[in-house]
Amino acid sequence: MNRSVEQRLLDLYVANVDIVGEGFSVGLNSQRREYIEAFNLAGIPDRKDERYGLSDLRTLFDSREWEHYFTPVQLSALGGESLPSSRYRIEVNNGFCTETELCRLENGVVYGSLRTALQEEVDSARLHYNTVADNKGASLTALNSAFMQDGSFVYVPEGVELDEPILVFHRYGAGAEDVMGFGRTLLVFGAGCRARVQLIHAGDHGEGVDDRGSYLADYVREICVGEGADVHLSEVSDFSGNCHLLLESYVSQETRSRCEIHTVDLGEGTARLDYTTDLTGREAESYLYGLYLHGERERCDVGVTVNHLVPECRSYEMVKGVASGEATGSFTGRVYVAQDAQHTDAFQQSRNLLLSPEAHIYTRPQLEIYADDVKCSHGATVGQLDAEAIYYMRQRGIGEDEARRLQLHGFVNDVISHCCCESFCDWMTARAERKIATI
Amino acid sequence: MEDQNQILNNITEQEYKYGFVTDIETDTIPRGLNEEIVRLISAKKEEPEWMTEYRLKAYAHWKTLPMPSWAHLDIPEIDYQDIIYYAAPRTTPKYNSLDEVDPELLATFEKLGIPLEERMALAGVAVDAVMDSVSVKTTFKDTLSELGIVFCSMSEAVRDYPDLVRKYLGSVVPYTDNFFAALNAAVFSDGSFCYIPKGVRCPMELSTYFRINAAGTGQFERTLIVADEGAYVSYLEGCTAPRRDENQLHAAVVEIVVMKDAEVKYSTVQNWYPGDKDGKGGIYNFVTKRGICRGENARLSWTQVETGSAITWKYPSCILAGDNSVGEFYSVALTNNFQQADTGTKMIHLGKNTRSRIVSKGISAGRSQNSYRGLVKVGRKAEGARNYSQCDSLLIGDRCGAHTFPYLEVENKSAVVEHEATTSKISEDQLFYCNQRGLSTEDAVALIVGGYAREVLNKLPMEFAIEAQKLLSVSLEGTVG
Repeated sequence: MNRSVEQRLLDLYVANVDIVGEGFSVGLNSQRREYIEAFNLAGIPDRKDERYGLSDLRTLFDSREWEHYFTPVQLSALGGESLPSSRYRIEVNNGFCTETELCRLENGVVYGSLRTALQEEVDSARLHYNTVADNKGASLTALNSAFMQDGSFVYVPEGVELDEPILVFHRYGAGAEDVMGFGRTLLVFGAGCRARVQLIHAGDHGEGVDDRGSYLADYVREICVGEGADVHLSEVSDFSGNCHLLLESYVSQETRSRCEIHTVDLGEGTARLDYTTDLTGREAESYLYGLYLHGERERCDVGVTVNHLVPECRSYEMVKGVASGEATGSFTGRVYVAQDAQHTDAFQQSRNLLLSPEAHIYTRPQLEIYADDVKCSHGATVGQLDAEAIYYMRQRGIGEDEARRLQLHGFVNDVISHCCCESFCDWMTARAERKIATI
Repeated sequence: MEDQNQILNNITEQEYKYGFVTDIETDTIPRGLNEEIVRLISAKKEEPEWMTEYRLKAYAHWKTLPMPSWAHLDIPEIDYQDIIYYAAPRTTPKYNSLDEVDPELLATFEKLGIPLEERMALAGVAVDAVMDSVSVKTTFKDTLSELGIVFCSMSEAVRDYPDLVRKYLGSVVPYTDNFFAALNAAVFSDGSFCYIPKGVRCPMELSTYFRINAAGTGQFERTLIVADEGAYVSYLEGCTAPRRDENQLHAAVVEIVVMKDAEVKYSTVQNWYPGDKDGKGGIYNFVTKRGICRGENARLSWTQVETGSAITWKYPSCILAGDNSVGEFYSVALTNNFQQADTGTKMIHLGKNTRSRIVSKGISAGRSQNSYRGLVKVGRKAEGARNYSQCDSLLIGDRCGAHTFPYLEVENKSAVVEHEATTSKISEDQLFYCNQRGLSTEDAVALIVGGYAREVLNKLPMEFAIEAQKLLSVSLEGTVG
């Protein structure tokens, strides 16, 4: 382990450059070289970088000799777990799509493997790939762009109204070794379309999980929302303790588009979820509802950045966190209002519950405003369950545990109840309830 | 042609008149910073050995530190070897009478409502008695010493009360704290020391208002206030004289120790020269201010009105170590033209049932950038800690920026921490309403801003509040229309 993480990753890339780039266009492959160099230059963000000050990524990267599989592996099914039903479905194992063929619906909707979409030169994939995530200066995104081999892809053409949500199911798992992977998702929504997407990140819950190595996912997602499109995303991450998810999600929204994201993190490992939204067209609306529930030694860092680049846009974020046991939760939000982005309406909220003496909450909601005719505000609270409410319930014959559970249920329900369809909402509630019972 | 030369001459002369104070002082001590300079400063102040050692240790540490760059500020590179670190108080008067003073300067004083004697003192006119702090203090020295209160300059304190100074100096802001604290510890020129003994309520407001002005280009002051058990003091710091100086570094350190049941109120009205309309010149105000509530039921309150300085970078903080101690921070920060400010507070809750309250009002106009940055930290053992923060920003004009960077770090489950922030502009309706009633738009803006800042201004001692209110109107001049 004498070499630095950056050097090891660079060596890994150089040694496998042919396998990584196999089948991709010359243009895309030539970019990879630039990205690995950009990553090498920037390095793994360390704690001096304020945005990453709370998540010790270097230690995470350094803690193990992470292997990387350049080919798909077979993972066992979720142990006895039923997934929400869905007609349109993509399954991704360790960053590789299980189906190589793309599904093409009659109305023009295309979904399936990102690799196939890029290699078959599907226009919507080729033209949008790496347009939103590029130039963000995030070294983990550059690392992903260098190693990206596959992932999921969805294209909803102009004016199409998708009747049912598309389910993208990500599963992560390792064998005997510790493994890292670089999955990627590209979602392209044409002008005036309406669509719902559900994303699940789950660990491999099969037999003998405890004996297995850890999994580290550097996962990047790009979402392009066309003019007047209405998009609704619901996301759940639910891992076993040996999985670590580093997610960077980028959204670009055009004029009068609407994008709503629900994200719930119930995982047992380390999660770092970064959401960046660029509002590039007037009257675009962005909503983000986040929730993390953590106990034991779990940790979750949520970063939300909304860039108001043009006038008359609206953004709303609400991130709720519960930390129990020895868990640590953090929220870093930033609303940026560019000069002349007048009539911006932005609101950001961070609400947190601390349930145990060893748990920690850090929250940093920030505003950066360069225009004067705007309405921007944010709020943050850290507190505990309301003792009076619990007392009230106990007076009425409800046990203390049940009273606590009810109150937590109310706290998390704000986020879960907004998610994109009822069946998914029920599924999410059941999972959240199970998690609440453990913390 | 001759006229032109005349004008040129006038202009150059004018610049000479205001900007070259430091030139006179170059004779006193050479430019630059090294161990010799630190020793020289210490020798000039006739300090004991331990003080010199302290300075040298601080200097050695400072050398190892890089200039911090995390603030939301655009700071031109500062050449630390091009600064004169010790400027002796001016002995030669700058003007002989008020007639020679720039009329614009006088007009500003008029608006500020500063009485004539003070006005002459502030303009650097040779008036005795009021001009420097010594005479002011001697007026009350009897009253104060009867009560056992020590209020003197830091050099006097080092000489007369070495035990007190040794015990408390650097106990709240150690020289290892940050870049500017280390620099200050190495080269501080003077400052004030204040000790209120057990159970004494200081009968009057103590102020550093005059002394800073008399010290001329006093760039590195150090203030140390100790309130012993059950004591009370209200302390004022005023830098309300517009100085016509080049870019100048002002890196002061203020330390406050509040013992059991004691209370300290520290109020600042800061109006260093902010630079001209094009952002040329002005003071870099990089100050470390921190107080510690050592004992139970101690209270510390910071109130600041910041309207001056080209760049303001400071976070008056409270360490709430004693149980049931209370920290408060009230701030109005106004930036205009090309001014920049990154200011706020830190509330560190360590004791049980500690409470803190933060009210910050930012006002940005012109092309200025105004940031609030505040930390609320609740330590593991701070049972029942409570904090409420409110940060409002007001934008005047579409080329300025207002930013809010709060940091909430909670490690105790019984803590309740709340933060709220809003950003808004003066509404057309409000202005229209005032215009209808015969107020000019400029007056209307001043009125609205005054109302907006009232919550903070109310916390200032009376005479300061009036001055601060006027200062806000003066600083806003030219922002409308």
